[in-house]
Amino acid sequence: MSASFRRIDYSLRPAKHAERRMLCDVFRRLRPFGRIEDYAYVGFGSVWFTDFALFHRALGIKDMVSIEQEESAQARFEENKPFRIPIDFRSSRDALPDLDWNKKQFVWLDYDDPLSPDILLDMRIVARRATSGTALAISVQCVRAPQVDQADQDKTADAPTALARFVDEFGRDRVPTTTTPKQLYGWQYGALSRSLVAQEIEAELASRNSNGAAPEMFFQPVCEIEYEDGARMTTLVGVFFSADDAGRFEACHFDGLEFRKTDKPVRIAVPKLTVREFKRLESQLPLVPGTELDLGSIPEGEANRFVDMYRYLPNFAVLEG
Amino acid sequence: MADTLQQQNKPQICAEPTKSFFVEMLTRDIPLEQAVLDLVDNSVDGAKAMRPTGEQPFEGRQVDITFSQDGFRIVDNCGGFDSKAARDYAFRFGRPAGTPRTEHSIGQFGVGMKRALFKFGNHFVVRSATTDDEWAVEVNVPEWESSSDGWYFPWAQFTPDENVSKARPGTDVFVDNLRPEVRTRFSTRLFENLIIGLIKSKHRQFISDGLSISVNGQHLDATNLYLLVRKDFQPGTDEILFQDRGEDDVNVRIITGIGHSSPREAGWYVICNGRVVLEADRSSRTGWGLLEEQSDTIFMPSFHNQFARFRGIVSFDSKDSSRVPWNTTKTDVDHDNHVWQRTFGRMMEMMRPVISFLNDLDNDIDEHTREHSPLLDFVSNAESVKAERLPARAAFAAPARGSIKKGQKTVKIQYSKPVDQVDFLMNELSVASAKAVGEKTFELIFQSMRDE
Repeated sequence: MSASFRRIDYSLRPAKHAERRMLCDVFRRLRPFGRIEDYAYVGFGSVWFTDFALFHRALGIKDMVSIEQEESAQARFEENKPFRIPIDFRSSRDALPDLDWNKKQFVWLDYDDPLSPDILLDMRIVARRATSGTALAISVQCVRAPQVDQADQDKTADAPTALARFVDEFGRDRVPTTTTPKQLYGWQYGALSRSLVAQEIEAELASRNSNGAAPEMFFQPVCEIEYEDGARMTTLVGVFFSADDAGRFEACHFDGLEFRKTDKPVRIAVPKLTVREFKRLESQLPLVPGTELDLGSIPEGEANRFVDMYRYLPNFAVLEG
Repeated sequence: MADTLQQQNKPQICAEPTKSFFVEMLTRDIPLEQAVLDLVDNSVDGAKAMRPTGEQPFEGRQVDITFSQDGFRIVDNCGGFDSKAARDYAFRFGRPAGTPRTEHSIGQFGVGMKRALFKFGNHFVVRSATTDDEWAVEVNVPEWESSSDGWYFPWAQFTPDENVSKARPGTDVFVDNLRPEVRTRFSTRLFENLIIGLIKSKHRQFISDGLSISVNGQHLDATNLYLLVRKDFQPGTDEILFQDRGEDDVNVRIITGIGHSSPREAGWYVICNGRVVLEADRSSRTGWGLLEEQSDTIFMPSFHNQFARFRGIVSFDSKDSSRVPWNTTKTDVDHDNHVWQRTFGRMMEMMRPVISFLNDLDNDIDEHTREHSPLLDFVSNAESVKAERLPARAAFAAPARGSIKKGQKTVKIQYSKPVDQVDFLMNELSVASAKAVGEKTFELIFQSMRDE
């Protein structure tokens, strides 16, 4: 985790804001596994604790832990935390194993960094322990793989390519041989990152399930999100459930999530609209079936983005004067 | 004394293994992925037995592997074997005396297929057809283990299909009712990637020779080994022939040289009859970190990243596969094999000059930086040549340090600064690393002061 809290005001990231609300909708649907307010929330709160505030207010979660490896500004983190949230000042690698894994958890590992082998090891820590009904969201930056920059900077004539470096970094078993160099850039890199995360969880569950005694544990991705407030980010959200709880998982009806796409990731695109246009569209939503939006001069693309996302978008205005 | 006891007419003491004990012992000493490779080895042996010739001797031969949580299948068109072979030796545990053998085979121990079948699951069907015979065997393992009918497998009905028939001779091995630990691993992408990576490298020579292999529908190409060559710069190569009285000859080929910088590819490759046994080995098995026994001095350094360009290849080839130095799981060399022992000394001799050169290269980079090292520039602009295309015998040749014309003389600057200041400059200068901040600020101040 790099110290992005020094650079970005989390509360002003509209796409992130939408993502938090989407996750809130995902978590809310886990009711068949037990009372939502009895879940524990684990996140990287930074100094903003925006996710903590939302899940506490909207879902009633009281048992919360923030993992913070940035030790240099401990006092600042402590002063900013609301709701008496305990902060574990260690790296996720050290903090995750010590969580109370007998409880059902919402775990949101919102890394500022691109995917690394360390992050994959965090996935294994969670997959080794998660109890049935636990939801895991993982976010990583996906502008381009750091190996691209390393390759660009290495001026040696026979320097390894970015892809060779990527394979070296993650290992031959993790990177499918069909991977192409362009998958190290942008949204394709995001998709590659998500698939590496999913296959790592799958592999850990395979060894967890290998004794054949306990009920088999599954991890089912629920949705994939892509967004950009400056840097491109991607999130994979999924739920752990045991074979015995397969019915409960079905009963969550994640297919009913409005924002969810079945065949592709949700791309959070924040429409660029004036406050007046905002109001104009909002007054017509939810759209009566069979009717069309009265757009006026609003560009159709922006309007469609708004219709897709309006329940999740923030309403902010800058107060001047 | 034995006679006296026999005369007492007591029944003999039974030491016969139970089938289930035998199966457990047999399957325990091999990793799952190696058991899959064993079955590929069998297909390769089938292809070898067809006595192919030409530039691409395995052209047209095909091996298709599929696995998932539901089962495992490997189908080949590599000639198959007849019911007599199945009855007399293919399903025997161990190879009975007088078994006909494939020359240069890679599955010589007579355990690969059975071990894999039992390792994977509780039910298997093996079907095979040659041009004039066809047969099938089907075994339910728990039933077979508990029956007291002896060590026999039942024949099953053979129905020709598009995979295997007299018109398309080959073998079809199918296992289902998988063991729990196998079922979970077969269902992961990591395991699929692992198998693909292993086959690409361990069977690379056969793939290069035209064998077509697919895993879960994905066609595999070979991972080639390249060495760097240019004028006055070439790998060391040598050939040794072991002719021992009453035994088949063993041909050994050794190559040591320089490749691209890649810690994962660096090290020794040990190849037996075309099958890679050790891949990029950097352990003491292949001499790394070897101590001089008499004096405790270091004879060969342990692997370190400055040797990331080292490539060593040693191939053993013999008609009689028991002469080449591999262990039964084909995952290591057999150190007691005297061919290996006699080859090892020569491998070390040929490794030494390459290691010395890489030390020189490291010193040159230290002095001149990566950007300005004349030796690194020389090496990195050499041409990649496939190991197979190198001459039979040549001494390792590389330029001495200092013999290459130096560019501008440089000196390395190193300093530490507060992180927030470096972050600030990274942002201001739009560069991605602290190193780049150092270089960029130097260039800027140099330009401005020079031009003043």
